[in-house]
Amino acid sequence: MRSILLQTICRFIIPFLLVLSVFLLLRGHNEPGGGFAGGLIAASSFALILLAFGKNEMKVAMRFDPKSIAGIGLVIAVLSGFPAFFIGEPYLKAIWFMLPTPLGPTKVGTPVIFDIGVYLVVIGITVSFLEDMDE
Amino acid sequence: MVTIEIFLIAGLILAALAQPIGRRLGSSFSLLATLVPLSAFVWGITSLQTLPIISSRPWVPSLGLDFSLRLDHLGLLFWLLISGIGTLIFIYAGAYMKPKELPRLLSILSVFMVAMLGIASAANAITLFLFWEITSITSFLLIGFKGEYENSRKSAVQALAVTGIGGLILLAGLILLGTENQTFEFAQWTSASPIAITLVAIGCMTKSAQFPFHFWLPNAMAAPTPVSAYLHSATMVKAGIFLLAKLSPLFGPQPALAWIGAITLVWASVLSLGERDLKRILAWSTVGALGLMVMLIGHGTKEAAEAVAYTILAHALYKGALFMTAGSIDHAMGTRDALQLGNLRRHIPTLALPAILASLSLAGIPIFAGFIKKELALAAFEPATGIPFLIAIIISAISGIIVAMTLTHRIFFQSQPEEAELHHAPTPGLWIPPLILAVLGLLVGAFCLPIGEHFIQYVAATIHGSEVKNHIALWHGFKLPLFLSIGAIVTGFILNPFWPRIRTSLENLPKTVTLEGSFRALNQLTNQTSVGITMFYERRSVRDHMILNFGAFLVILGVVAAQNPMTLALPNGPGILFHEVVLLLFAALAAIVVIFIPNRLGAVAVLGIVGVAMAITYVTFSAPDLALTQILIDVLTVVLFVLIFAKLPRFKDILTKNQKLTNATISIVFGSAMTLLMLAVLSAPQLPSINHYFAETSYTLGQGLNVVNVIIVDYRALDTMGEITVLCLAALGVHTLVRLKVKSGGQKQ
Repeated sequence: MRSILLQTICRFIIPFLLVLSVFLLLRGHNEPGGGFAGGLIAASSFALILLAFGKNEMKVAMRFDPKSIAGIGLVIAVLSGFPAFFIGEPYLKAIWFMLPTPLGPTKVGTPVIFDIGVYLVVIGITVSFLEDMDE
Repeated sequence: MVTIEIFLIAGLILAALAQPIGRRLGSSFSLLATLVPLSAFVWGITSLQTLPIISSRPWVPSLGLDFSLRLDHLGLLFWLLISGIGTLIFIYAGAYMKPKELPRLLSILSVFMVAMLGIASAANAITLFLFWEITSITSFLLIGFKGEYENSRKSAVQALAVTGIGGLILLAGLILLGTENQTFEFAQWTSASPIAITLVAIGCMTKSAQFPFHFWLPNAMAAPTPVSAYLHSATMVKAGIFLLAKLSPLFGPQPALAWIGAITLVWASVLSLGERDLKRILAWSTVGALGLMVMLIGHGTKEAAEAVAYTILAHALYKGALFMTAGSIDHAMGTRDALQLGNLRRHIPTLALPAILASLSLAGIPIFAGFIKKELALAAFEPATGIPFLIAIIISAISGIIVAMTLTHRIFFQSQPEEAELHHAPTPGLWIPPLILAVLGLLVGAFCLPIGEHFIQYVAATIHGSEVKNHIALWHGFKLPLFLSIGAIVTGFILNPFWPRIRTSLENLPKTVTLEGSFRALNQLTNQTSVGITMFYERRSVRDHMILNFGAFLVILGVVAAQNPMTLALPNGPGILFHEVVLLLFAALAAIVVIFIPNRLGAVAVLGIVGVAMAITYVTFSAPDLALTQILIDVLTVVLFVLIFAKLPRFKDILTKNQKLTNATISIVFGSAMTLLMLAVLSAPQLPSINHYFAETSYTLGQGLNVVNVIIVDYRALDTMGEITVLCLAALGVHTLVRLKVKSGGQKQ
């Protein structure tokens, strides 16, 4: 049932897919991508693992319960709205600031954190669907 | 200056700390926890001279809504009862509950106490309603405290259903009153329409277990005894009484309410004789007392107001004591069945004194608070016009005597054929709190202290709306109330030996008479109706389900189209380009081919072509984000289908020709309708578009160049939050549906 061809290809492309998903997530604010698309790419790489290797391997690759990941993502998204309260703005109002990083100053803001939450929710629920459907 | 809010916040902090700290300290934690109610009680006593205490802060300024509190004399009476009895209940719970369960109980009890103190001090209808609902929810949690028993769960749901529906009705009434008077502050309310009065009254009737909503209260006895003593006799069930009393200057005398109270009083007094469980006997007697209070509030005279004020106090004292005693008996003997208890004076002598003192008050024997309560109630009605009400009070007095005799003479001094044995002797925590309450009942009656009398008069003035100066005394002279009282006591003692026979005949009353059966029937009807609707909508076959949905959509579309004439015209713009035509042809071809593919996997793969064609179309219209998402979704959908197909039986063409014809007709009609709809939408006059605003400000306001993403995570972040929440819930739903395997017998696994 397991195809060696598929398994070999998977070994090569899945790391790239995961990097791509993070890349899409982070660049999403200025160019096509974002948490939703990034999350779907990551989820499809897990779907590939499921098809090529089977359910247990997907679980090992996920490390955490997909539903917990979705829950944590939701919590992150909810929490990202709170900093606005500290400067007297309504909930979810975006706050941006420059963060010095080794790659030079980078713009960081609460919407990025929100997007990371969306990313995790999308991964979590999609993999959870996959797991349930493979029961 | 100590404000009311400090105690509310202290209670909430206690609730939060109860679990982590309580688990380490064990039973002694309850003594520490009493600091909160005890300090609230002491503060209440010291602030007697400074009433009313007012505090207000903005809550929702845009709606003109304040979180305002105002403690007047009526509020303070409740405040003292809640905090004072709360202190005793906390101590009692420490002795009664298993150390493992105690922290959870104290945690919920603290939240409840905060909510009750909030009700007692609320000056604003919305503030009050907030606390009102919290009491309903905590009551639900406490009745269902032993959730492993089916009885507890059922009773909890029943109580929540009745008080929850009542809460909604009350909210409607309060909003009506609020809009009529242009404010939600109680103090500024000047007018009340009959419909608003009715709604508020119904809300209060459900909370205070008035006929015909009375049946939930005896069932609420499934809760642990500290809860029954606190919520379901002394405080929460009086919240309805409190609100009626608070609004009674506005509402004026309400004869209908008086009649409902009288019916409740008589009915509950009779039914209290049909029980053998000590707590249920007391519960019915509580329903009766609540009926008496509603009757007096409805009557609405100065004398009635004074009687209500006194009844609230006296009843809380003796009923709280009796409930705690009943719980202690249960704790010590392992049963609270009146027919199996006997000779308790030998087994548990410490409980005899609280039981006797509180029962004497319940029976209305002179020098006890219960006697004065009964005298005041009898004096509130004119012999000429109030005969039915006087009869109701006398019936309740007779029943009270029999109940009191059962609780003392029968179980403490008589022998029974099958007697329960002593399990373990009650600890001081189990008999001192009820004794304190029972002794207070004696002191309040025997030495009607001048301050106490004045306080009651002030409370009565709050209820009635004008000054009340009637003297409260043990001895009112040889007047009608005294003779009626003596008559009732004598009749009670004569009837008492016949109690076992009365009890058996009442026990056999059909359930429909007690209205509990009707509630159950209503419940069943609701369930059956919803199952019926679900079965109609959720067809067993996907085909039927789709036909129903598409058909319904077409009907709605047809009705809308018939009412709104639409113009169909191709939108203006650049003409269709060659590569677009090729793409659309691909999509159309794939859509046609998919019908003729004889296996599922192939069909889904071909359907994927339609998706890819759509994605490329998005690209040509420069929407790369949409294209990306479309392709990814398509890929994942195919994967999900593949996983599901592995479990399905081999594909077989089982449809008849006619069925296929129907499918085709519906598909074609639906597809055409959607096309027409799109054309109609595009040719309809366009609203000013917001797109340009987003495109222009995406970088300046949203700090991002990708407009789509900025909209998702910034402009419309709240919408996105809703969507990802729905996604998480859907994942949970799928999970439970897949894991829930229904056996052939209908048993769930």
